[in-house]
Amino acid sequence: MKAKIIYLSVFVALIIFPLLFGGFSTIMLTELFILAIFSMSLDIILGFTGLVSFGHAAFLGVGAYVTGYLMTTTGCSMLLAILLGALGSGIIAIPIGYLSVRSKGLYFAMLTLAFAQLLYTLAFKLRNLTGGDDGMIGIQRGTLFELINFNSSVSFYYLALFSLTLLLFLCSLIVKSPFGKVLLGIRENEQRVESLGYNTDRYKVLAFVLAAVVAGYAGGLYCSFMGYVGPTIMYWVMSGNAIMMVIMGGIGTLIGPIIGAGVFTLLQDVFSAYTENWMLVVGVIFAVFVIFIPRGIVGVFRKA
Amino acid sequence: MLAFVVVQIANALSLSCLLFLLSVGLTVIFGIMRVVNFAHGALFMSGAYVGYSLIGHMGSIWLSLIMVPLVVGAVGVAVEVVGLRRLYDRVHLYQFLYTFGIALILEEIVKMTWGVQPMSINLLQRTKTGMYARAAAENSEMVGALGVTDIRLRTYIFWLGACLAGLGGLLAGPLLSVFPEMGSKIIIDAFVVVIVGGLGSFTGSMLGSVIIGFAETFGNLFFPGLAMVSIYIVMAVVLIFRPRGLLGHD
Repeated sequence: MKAKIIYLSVFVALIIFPLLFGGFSTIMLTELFILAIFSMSLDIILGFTGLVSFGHAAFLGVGAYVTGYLMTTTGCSMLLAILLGALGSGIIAIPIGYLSVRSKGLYFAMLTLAFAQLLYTLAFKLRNLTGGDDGMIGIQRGTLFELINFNSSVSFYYLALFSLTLLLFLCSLIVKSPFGKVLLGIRENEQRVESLGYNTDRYKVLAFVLAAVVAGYAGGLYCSFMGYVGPTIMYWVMSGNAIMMVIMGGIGTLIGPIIGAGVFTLLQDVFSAYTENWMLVVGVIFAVFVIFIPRGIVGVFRKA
Repeated sequence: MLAFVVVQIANALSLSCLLFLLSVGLTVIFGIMRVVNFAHGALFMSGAYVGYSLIGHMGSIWLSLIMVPLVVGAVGVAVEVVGLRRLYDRVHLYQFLYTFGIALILEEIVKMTWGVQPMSINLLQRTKTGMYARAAAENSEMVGALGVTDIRLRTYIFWLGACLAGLGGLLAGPLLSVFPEMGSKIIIDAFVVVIVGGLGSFTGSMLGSVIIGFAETFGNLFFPGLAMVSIYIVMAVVLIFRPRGLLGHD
């Protein structure tokens, strides 16, 4: 009950935020929302299924590239392009998921990392499609039925906020559903779930694809937000950042990764003002979390 | 033509040796501690930098061959004692994540100390292969001899792995150029090696290193359009038929 009041008041505060503080802080929060969707999608497989994906940025990237490609070459409207980006990301995730889920534990982490590196390399190589290391530039957001102009940072802010809220709601429905219970079972004891007659590999692939779709959606938003997409979006550093957000915020909570994205962005902003080696500070804080606060910020408050 | 092929085979072999030195370090640590050490690449990179400075200061390669593994080994011991030791009773995820944090920290420390500009070392072109082989041989014997795992043994194993990584970095210096991201770059290749060969298997690491070394060298040569992609294709094909790698077991 208390938690619901807090969530609701935060939500209301975020709705009126752009009306009170315009400009730069609105744009910063928009980026934070997009990163939050991305790290939340990672939590579906990392936190709820127990699969350590170290290549999640690949799906952020596929979503972004598909969206960017459609918008620059076909003149597809932004929202449709983002949805197709999410779909494309899910499609790419099927073979990768199929090949990866058969191996367990940290083998899975290395595999997903390698596949992500493959896609990253392809983003460089397939110059005709992706623009190589220059990427795609000048992506215009356009309007929705001439009604909403997404070039305004405020309306894009609301799009990102709306997307985050909706996806958080959908993801929490999924993890509470019977399907989500099977995923939790796989995380706790895969053999037992298997002996109950579930095809666990199929469930894991499905969770993997689902997470990729949500990540792809975040990628589409990110590409529209930046007006640009380049290979660095799918570099392993991005996957690592998402893992840090999930762990610092609270693994297996959905809301935790959102808070983690906030903490990460805050650390980045505060320390990059003082030193270009701000990642050192982030690395130390992350290591401290891993050792002393493994359940993250949300985990500390939600004592089980 | 023949000379060209020989040179390429030599290139492929020296890359294979380098990958083997790295993947064998990963294998030692994984085989005994069940830890996938993400920081292995960062330790390797630190070895290259420490080697660069030592060779510059003392002008002696032979001294650096002893000093660099010791320095990097000491870093490894610190990493184990400060944090990793506290995580052995947790699920393996947290040990992996801790070493990932360490990799970030080491990379930044190197950037702060030596800057971000790539550097090159033009020494030590001849004795590599011999060194690799010796280090590797010493290692597999080690593992065979070890049966028990207590806390100090784990520190020792981690130290050994770090020494190997440092040595690898020192020897790689002349082969590759030295830059802060070289560690994270090579660790992914080393992961591909152990995925192909089978995690935790020495022979697998050796086989994987040779396959990946040749796939990369000759892939770049014959299919320049697919340069850098060839090793992942090999990996995917192996995985379809052998999900745990060529010589891996559960």
